[in-house]
Amino acid sequence: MAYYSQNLLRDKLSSRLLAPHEKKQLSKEPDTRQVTKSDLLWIGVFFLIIATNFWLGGHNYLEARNVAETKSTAEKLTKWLAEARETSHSNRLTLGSCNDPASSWRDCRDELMANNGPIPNARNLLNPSGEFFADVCDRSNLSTLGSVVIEKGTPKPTDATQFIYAKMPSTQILSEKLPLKVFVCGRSFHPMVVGEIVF
Amino acid sequence: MLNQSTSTVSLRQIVYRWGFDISNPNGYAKQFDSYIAILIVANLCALLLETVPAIYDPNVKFFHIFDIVSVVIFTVEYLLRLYVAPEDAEFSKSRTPRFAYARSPFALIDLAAILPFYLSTFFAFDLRALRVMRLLRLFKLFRVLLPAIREFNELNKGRTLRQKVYALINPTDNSGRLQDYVDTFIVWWVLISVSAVILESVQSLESIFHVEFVILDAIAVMIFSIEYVLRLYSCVEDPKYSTALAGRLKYGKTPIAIIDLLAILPFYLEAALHQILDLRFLRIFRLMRLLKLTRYTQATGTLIKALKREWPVIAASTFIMLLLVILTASLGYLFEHEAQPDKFENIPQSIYWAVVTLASVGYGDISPVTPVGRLMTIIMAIVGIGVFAVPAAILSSAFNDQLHKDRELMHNELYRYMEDGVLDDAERSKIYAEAKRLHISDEEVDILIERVRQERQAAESGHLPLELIAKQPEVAFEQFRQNIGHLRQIVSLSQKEQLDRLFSDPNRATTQERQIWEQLNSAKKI
Repeated sequence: MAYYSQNLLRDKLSSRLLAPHEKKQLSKEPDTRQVTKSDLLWIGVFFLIIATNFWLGGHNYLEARNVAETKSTAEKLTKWLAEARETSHSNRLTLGSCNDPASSWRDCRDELMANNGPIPNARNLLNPSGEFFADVCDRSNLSTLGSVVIEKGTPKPTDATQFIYAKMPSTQILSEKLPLKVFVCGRSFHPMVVGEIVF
Repeated sequence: MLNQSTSTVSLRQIVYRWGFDISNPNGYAKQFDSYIAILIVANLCALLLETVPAIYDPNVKFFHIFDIVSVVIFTVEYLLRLYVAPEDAEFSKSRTPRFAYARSPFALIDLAAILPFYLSTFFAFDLRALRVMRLLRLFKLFRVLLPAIREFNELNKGRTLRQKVYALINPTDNSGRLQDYVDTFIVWWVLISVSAVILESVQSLESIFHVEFVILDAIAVMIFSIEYVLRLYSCVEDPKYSTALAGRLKYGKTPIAIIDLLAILPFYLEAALHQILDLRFLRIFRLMRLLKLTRYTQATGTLIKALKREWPVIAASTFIMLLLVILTASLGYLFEHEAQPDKFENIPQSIYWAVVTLASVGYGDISPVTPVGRLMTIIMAIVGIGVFAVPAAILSSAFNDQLHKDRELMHNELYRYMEDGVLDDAERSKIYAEAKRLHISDEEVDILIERVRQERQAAESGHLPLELIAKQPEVAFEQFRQNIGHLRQIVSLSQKEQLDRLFSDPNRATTQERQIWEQLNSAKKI
């Protein structure tokens, strides 16, 4: 640092005391200082890059962990929904709304997240202000980021074993068999498919 | 004498000289250190993978065996170093060299790397604590790194920070082994990050290792960003980019700098704009990190040189290819449109079929059905084999030619270095580095050096092969002058009358020989 200050002083002195032709000559000499002002600037950039990377890397890591956790919750839900169908409504008996053919998807959805449901107190980890369930993964609606989306399938006209999935309205009645596709609305509003089941 | 000297060499000296003496050029100390370093890195990878239950649980046995094998190797290394300590100049002066070695920082690190394993057999350790202690093995890398850092500091004493950074990331005379390690580190991270990008596309793996892939990417971007900034900072040390701003801008526009930037840019763009735009497609650009490896091989440079040199010929053959494609597509459309209007709907659509046919790919999704169409396809396919092969042949030949030229240049360089009859260490390392670049093995270089040495010796003794003299004008000129001098000496020392009589005899000498004699004789008189 002392060395640096000494050089700075030399710079100042040279700019004031030297004749123009001497200044010109001095500027042509190679800079032999160990650390120059320009170096310090670059050291600043260097640390800025490291700090930015730590910040972005940490952010990405937390986001990835939240996505993994949300996917795990969605997988748990998918498994529960699939088993509920296979075990002849036995599981659904514990959740009145999901067992009642007259009830809507909204009612069932709320009970899934209730204390006695398969995913109690589930919340949107990527976006705390958003809902855990969303109807669609929509870029224009930032609150849908990190939500679990369940779409309803309708058989393809050409092949009844295949389904075309579309938004399931909250008012959907659960009286019939429902082919469902579960996915997580991930980063960049990219749907990350968790599974396809019949409920 | 030789027998006597070898009989006095102890086993300990042999072990030290072969396995641990870095200064011995015929020993294996450097290789030994490299293998140990690889094993340390493998240990670190194993340690990281052990934290992933999906990998660790089904392979517990493998991880355990690997750990035992590693500890056995590290223990053997530790014991051998302890055994040969009295041979090491650093400890040999001590009264108890082995104890002095055992107290040295490197030995303590070595011990710390193996001790937890042995202790765990006697004491019940928490598995996590044991893992953390196994991380101590990483410190063994300092055995390789510290000497390289010392050498680097020695080579760069009194140089500016920027010069040091330049020497650290670019191969220069001041770089030393540390620069090799930096290069190796970056190459490994390129391979790791590209492998991660490829494996990420496997859905089953991505769902298990999503978080791990994100961590790997973040680390890779940090390393490549630091590298990019350091290169941009220090590039002004290169005379081509010597001005602070313009030089850096010029460097930033070079293909290799653009590749470096593209390797990191998707990460930052995606982080900044992911809520506004779907930039996941940019992730594919992470595969471009593979192009960073072009910095470490000159093969692409040779190919680019060959391409530039043969560009007019390649362009001409491409033009002929283009003509043939359009002709084939047009004929295909002409003969097949009526029979297959869905497949040969128009000429642009037929171009796909033409290219597939002429390039001998033949997917078979579109094929001619009319007899004339088939006849035309047969002719065009045969012509296509020849025409489409031309650019490949030109490129292959040009690449070979360029390599040959580069090797010729290296040969000339070797001649230049050996003008003084000696190939010093710096010249030798330059020649070997150039040979490596040109894919010439060390054995071939040794043969080449020996040949040049023999040729020089022959040249000095005046028995240079004629074809070699003819090849090199400088040598031919010197040889000619030498011979003239030799003739003058003969003339001045011989009996003039007797020689004159012999040259006058037409059966003994030609007219030309007599003229040369007379010329030299008259010159002597003057």
